[in-house]
Amino acid sequence: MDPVTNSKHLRAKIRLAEPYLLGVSDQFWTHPQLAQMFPEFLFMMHSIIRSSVSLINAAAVSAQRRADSDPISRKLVSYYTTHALEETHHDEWLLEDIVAMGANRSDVLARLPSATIASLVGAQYYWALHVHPVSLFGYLAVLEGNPSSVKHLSKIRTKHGLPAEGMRTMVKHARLDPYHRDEIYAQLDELPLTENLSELVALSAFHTIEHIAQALQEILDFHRVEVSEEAIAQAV
Amino acid sequence: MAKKAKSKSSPKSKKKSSNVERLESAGVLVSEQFTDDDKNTVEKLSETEVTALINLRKKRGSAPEGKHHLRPNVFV
Repeated sequence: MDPVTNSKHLRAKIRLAEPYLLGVSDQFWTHPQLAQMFPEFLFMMHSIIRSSVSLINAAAVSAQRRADSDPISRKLVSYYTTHALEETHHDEWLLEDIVAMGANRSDVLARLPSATIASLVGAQYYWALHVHPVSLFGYLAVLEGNPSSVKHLSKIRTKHGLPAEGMRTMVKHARLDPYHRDEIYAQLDELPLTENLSELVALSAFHTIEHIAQALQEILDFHRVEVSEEAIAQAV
Repeated sequence: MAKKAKSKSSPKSKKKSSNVERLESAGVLVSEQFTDDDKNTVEKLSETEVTALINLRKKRGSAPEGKHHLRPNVFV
């Protein structure tokens, strides 16, 4: 029988929590007006990934600080340092996609990200700095753990008439994320996690699921209000 | 150390609900679809994890469960 590894435990916990996110995600990706909401989705994604390198580096610094007395942190330092390098400039790629779709670069950077995204990312800083940097595995496992295929993205693009230039970064990640996902789980399996830290990673994953779902729901809700207002304006 | 999930039943109650029972009654899982290994994993969840899962289920409300293949990554 296969041993129950850290990664298997985490995957099982994510499967229990994920239906909420999958439900909202399905509503979003099958919405008949997906093309109208797509720029908002890209902005939401940019709000997240603009923080990625800083967040992973913060976890690396926290791990380094604990490394002398904590063998788990010792193992995390090089993983996080390498992963931060791997994620460098991805926010710039996405910003270029958003600009290619017609947005103004400085407007995108000046626009305030939602409180939901601040909560999503902010909690990760708190856990990584004040509890234990291994917490970030829950966040990474949810965000990078379900890579799309290029074929799937292409189907979505064709079906909804999405512009190819708006999906360049998504396509690149469809190619990169399977490796990142495998690295995350392989690294997790090398860690001698205590029950307490295993729980922390799960809570981080659940929090990520909750806030990504909420952020997508907010885009859907905002779009619904906009459509209603347009209908009222036309009727008047 | 993480504590194993406990039921909210009164001290007089003789039988404590298992994690599987609690999560099934909250609509988080359907135990028939779970293998014994899966159930053992669920029984190891802490009180905090069980509560978080039940809260996420409440947030989903009556919305249908999604299909896994329709969730492109929200990447970092």
